[in-house]
Amino acid sequence: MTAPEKNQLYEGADVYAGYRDTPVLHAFDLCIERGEHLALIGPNGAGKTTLLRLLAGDMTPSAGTMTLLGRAVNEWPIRERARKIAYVPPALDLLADLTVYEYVGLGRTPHVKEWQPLRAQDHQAIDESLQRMSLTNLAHRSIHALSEGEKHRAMIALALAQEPEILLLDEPTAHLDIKQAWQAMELIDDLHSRTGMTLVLTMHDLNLAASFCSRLILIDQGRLVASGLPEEVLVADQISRVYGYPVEVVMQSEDGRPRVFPKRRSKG
Amino acid sequence: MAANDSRDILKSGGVAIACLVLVACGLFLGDGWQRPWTLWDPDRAGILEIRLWRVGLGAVAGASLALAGVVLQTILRNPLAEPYVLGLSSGAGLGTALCIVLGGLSIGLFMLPLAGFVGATISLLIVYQLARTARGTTPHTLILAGVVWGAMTGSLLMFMVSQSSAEGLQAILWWLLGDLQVYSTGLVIWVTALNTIAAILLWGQSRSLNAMLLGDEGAAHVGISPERMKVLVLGLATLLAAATVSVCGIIAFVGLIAPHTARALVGANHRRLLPVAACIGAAFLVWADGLGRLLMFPVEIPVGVLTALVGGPFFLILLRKRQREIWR
Repeated sequence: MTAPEKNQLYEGADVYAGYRDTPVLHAFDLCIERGEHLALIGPNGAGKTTLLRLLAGDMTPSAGTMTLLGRAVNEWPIRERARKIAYVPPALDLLADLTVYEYVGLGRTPHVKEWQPLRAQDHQAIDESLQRMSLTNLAHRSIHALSEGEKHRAMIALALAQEPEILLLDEPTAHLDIKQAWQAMELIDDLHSRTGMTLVLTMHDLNLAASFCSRLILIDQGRLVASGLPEEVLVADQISRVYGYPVEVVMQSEDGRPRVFPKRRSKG
Repeated sequence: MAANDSRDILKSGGVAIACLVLVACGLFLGDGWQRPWTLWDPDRAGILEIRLWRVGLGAVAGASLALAGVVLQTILRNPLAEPYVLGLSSGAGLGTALCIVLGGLSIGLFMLPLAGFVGATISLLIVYQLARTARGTTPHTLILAGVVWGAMTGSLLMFMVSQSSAEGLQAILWWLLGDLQVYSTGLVIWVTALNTIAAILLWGQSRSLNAMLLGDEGAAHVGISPERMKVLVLGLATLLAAATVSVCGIIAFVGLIAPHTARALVGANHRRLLPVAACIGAAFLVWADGLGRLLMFPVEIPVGVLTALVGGPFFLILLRKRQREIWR
């Protein structure tokens, strides 16, 4: 195998993946470079989340290879992988009750030996993550007492406490209202510009993706349809065809990013 | 952070110390309401020693069952999981009884907890397989499988008891009902040693157990292998439950009452939850045993009967609550 290019993180070649009898991804090729802010878009069931799970190492390709820094994602030792990649699920799934501080502290797990208590640097990392997500004041509240927006910030804070190079976010705005969603995306974008962390997220909201991400990958029925700048991918014909509903695309003058508007079909 | 940390430690420490005081007070319980100082009466010297063993065994058994309950609930993501409910206890009982019938005692008493462990492990594997549906195990399928398996092993056990000689019959019957009478101090020491090691190993896994609260994938995302954790933790929990059964029989529901009380008091962080649940389990069992000897004196109520009478309603209340209300 040839040595990967310096800036290349992920490389997927001819990847097939799926669940038991339902194949999801077909002959998928993918390359993700360090520092990208990338959104995976496409209709429900297109394979966005499957692709993200492949990147996280939750799934293995049924054929083809998905490598991170030249090594198959699923061959990374699990602790080492958790120091490289952090994954933010779409909703909080925590069985019992922990405080926000304890919850975010779980992000230090891959950095601390099992028997060792948290060290000063671990507490510092937790404090910084909390501060970054404006949760310092809520640190000792029960996590289940938080609002949806705060819970979401806590999930990102946990991921940040892992001090990863790559942050994967599955539908980061799924359970948020407009204000929470845009604030969350601003926070994520701010994180990206400050830390240079590589961000990969799946998104339903094309306008949020267009406003914040530097590259979009459009997936349809498990196949890559288009990849590039928002204005290259969000082309009216293409989006109408993939989503099966007519849309028009307008360029915003303020940020120079495209916006997608569905067009109501005339009755009868 | 420090202020809150120390407040948490203070609270957990307070609960733990209160429980240990209750355990110590257990020495004064039994055969009628005695004035405390009569325990040091030279004429009654033997009684203090017997009580010490009995209270010690009660504390070890209660703590062990509580610890097993906590981690079974966390790993199986099921608030109703507990050694008795899952059929582990009767599996361990069957293993122990088979060991006795097949002459394992000639090798040594130390065989009993090990035979119990084998029986409980087989039970856990069978119950887990029976409970699996297409979407994994649900709380209710797991409980149903556990109850059915418990009934099957329980009747085998009863059959074996019915074949035993009349003189040993009552002792075995008491053991089946759960009994803290110390028949062999050597066995108590051996079980205490085994369970102490298992408890320390479990406590060492506190952070990983906390990570398991995130679910299998969530745990993997922070670098914990869920498969490895399941094997390790279920193994240790089974050992705790089985060793306890081998020395004091089948005691129900302690693994339900102590963990849920502890969670309500100090939260779900295993670093605090495990020791506090152990202390609560110890106090609960010692007092259940003490009151069992007092309430209908001179008739003694087996401790397992009392814990079942208290734990049964507790189980039903949990069963009727919604999942999310139980954990929080």
